[in-house]
Amino acid sequence: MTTTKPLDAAPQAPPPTDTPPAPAPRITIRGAARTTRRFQLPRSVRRAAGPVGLVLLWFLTSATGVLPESVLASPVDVLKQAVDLTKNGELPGAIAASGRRAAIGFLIGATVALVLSLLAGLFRLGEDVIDSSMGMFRAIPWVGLIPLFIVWFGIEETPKIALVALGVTYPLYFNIYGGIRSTDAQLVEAARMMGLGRFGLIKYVILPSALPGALVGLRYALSTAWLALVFAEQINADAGLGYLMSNAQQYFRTDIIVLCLAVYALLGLACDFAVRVLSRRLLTWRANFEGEA
Amino acid sequence: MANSVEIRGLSRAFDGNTVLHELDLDIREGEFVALLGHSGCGKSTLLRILAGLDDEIGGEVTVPARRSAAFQSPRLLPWLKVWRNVVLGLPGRPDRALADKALAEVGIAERATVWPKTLSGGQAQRVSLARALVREPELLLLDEPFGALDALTRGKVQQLVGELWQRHGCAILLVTHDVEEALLLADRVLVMDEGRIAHDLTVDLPRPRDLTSPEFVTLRARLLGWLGVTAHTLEGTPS
Repeated sequence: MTTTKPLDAAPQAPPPTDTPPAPAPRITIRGAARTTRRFQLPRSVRRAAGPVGLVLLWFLTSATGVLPESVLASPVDVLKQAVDLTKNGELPGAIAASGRRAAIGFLIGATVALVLSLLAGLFRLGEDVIDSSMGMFRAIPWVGLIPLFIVWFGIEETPKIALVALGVTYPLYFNIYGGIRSTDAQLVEAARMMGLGRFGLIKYVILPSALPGALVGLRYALSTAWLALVFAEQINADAGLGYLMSNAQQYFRTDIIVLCLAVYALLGLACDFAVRVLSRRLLTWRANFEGEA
Repeated sequence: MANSVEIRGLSRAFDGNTVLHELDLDIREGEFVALLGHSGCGKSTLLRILAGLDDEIGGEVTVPARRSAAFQSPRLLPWLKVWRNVVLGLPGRPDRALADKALAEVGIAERATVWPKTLSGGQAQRVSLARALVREPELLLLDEPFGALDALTRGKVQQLVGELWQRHGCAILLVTHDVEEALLLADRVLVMDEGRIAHDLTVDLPRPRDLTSPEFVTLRARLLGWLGVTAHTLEGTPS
């Protein structure tokens, strides 16, 4: 280059002083890789350690009398009740009755949620009409509707199933609707460009992108279903886990109450596990942070 | 040769802000046209209109029915395997053989059955090209398809686009802000300014083109001049 460099004309840097400048702080990064593999507990063992420890604590405090039976029965008694009630058929019968209510209520609620969220998610008219209404209804605590449901549906199965259905509808609706609306507009554009029609867009772009949200909603919905059931079965039930529990309450049988609670918890866990397995299978395409070891 | 694209008096405004201003443009069949311009000059808007993604326009636009596009980001559906992405939207059942052929053409046949998340940026862009070309378009719209790639990958994919164009013979409109890229690939380079085609430069250099040839350097300087970037300012001389 023949042009003069502007840097040449710049004033000289100040001459170096006698004291050398303090060196900038540095850090040393040491290798974390080990040559010999350190022994590691399997992930499943580590996950189980917490719950097992708590049950152990419960057992010890009960066995030593720190935790009196009138407050909480010992795990041994609870197990004994589980065996007895299973033998005489009371517990399986109760689980079947509750399970039936939960299943029917869930199916109704899920269907309603799916239809409403699709209408609201896919059509602007649907959004205007449905979404604001859903927002309004959600502000009503659904447990508070129990008296109204009894007035409407009597004290038989219907109000219980209706309560479960209602509890299921909200989390599914809001998650599916949110999932549909968070579809990447760029993907929609590209898919339209590739010749997908309205139907193809819904099938290949919008529904798959709503799937992660829908599965989160499903987890909430299933736990809500069991929760709704606990409330619903406290009223005038003649079968089911809630009936078993309110009977036990009258005779101060904390062992049966704890047993029923444990069964509710196990059923909830089983549902949650099923959804997690389902998620893992359906969402293999996702690149997610898996947590550090 | 007949025209593939004919644009007459095309206008487009966003909230009263005119982006395209009575624009006229013809693209011949099989012609490779590059469209240069500053950000916000309306070049992407023009491409979206040609793609049929934006029809709130004034004026008249004639384009081939069979056209497809590749964008700056590959825009693959993450929940479909690579090969399914390639044949997405084609009529009939997903045709694996067709997808494999298209993927082989862009040099990544072996990645047909993986999820898009496992692809590198360059690979994903190749898939995006395969998806565009499997439709046998008469007009291929490319919206800065190399913009997000690193320099080495960009060179390879540019070369690939050149080869694919010669094999398929479709008209291409390439939106870019890279002057060298435009000159390497295109028959004609357009410079857009204030919603119009401000300059139209025919590039009749023999292919493959040499970046260092004096003709190339001259054309480059001319384009940069039109874009308001003089070679002088590029070299850092104080003004």
